[in-house]
Amino acid sequence: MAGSGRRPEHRGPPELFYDEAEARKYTQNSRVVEIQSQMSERAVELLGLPQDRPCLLLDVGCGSGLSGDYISEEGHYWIGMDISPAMLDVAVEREVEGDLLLADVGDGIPFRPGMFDGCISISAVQWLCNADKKSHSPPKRLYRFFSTLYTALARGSRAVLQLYPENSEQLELITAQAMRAGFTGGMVVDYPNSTKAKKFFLCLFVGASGTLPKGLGTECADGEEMHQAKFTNERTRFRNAKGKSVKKSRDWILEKKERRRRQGKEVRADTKYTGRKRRPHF
Amino acid sequence: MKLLTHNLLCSNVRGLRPGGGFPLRIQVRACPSVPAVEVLEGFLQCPDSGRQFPISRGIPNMLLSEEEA
Repeated sequence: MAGSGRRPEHRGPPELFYDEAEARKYTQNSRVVEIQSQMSERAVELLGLPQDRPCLLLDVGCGSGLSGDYISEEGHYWIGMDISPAMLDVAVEREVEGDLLLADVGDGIPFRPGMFDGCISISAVQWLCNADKKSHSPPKRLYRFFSTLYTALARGSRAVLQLYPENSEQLELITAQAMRAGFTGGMVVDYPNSTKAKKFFLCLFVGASGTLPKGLGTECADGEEMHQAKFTNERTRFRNAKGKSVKKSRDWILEKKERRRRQGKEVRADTKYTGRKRRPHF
Repeated sequence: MKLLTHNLLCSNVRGLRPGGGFPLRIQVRACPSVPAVEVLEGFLQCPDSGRQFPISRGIPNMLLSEEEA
């Protein structure tokens, strides 16, 4: 939800920001659902789980279960923690398959050692950086979170935390506490050159340090454009800097139809005539 | 709260002995004729400190007070 306007963390603690009205609004917003689902997919991909068996995952800041739904779709089990009772109530209503806990992860992860095959967190960890109570010390809370998370994870497993850091200092603070707690790994940034599409995934390894996965949108194709001019027969660029299709193009039309289908509205089928240039006449 | 979760859950309170706070004892007002498979209302009690964590609508409340954190 961060990005447009002020950051939600500045308005107050998460358990008050995500009240009943906000929880409902958040979960019903199709744009939010889509983005959360995509980020969950990417996070689970980055976890590098074994393909042959279902795993037990921890979902930090599970909220109303949007990310958890994706985990269940992939055939894994999950336990979710969130500080907002309203969000958890929505999760219960939606009959999510994972198990839920009302908890503050800044107080630690209350599980026996080595139980989880992995951990994901979507858009939650940046909330730990703000002191919501006088007694809060963000670095201490971050360290408590990371050290107990490290304990709760099995050897060789990973934690992938998608977050919205406010600035580089926050990013450094978070990463430093994670390293102090014993994790190896680092930040994977998808689409680093786009303001809208840019996403931060903190990839942490327990025990064996693997190679850090590559961020999306950092492949040669994008790199080449920066160093040399690309000559094509096309006059118009398919995508603008925001990572969206140019308005009214065929791609844009197909994406809009797909969005409306997801909303459950009646949409005509896509054919070879969709978005075709019409014969110019008066 | 599912059986698996209860099997993994331990008390989060600071100052417990290492490996302490587990297993949490389930306390429910259950009638003997109805087998409790999924706990909806009740308490989880820490065996070391006696601290009780309430369970409401199947969700255990693990929130700590300022002194415990």
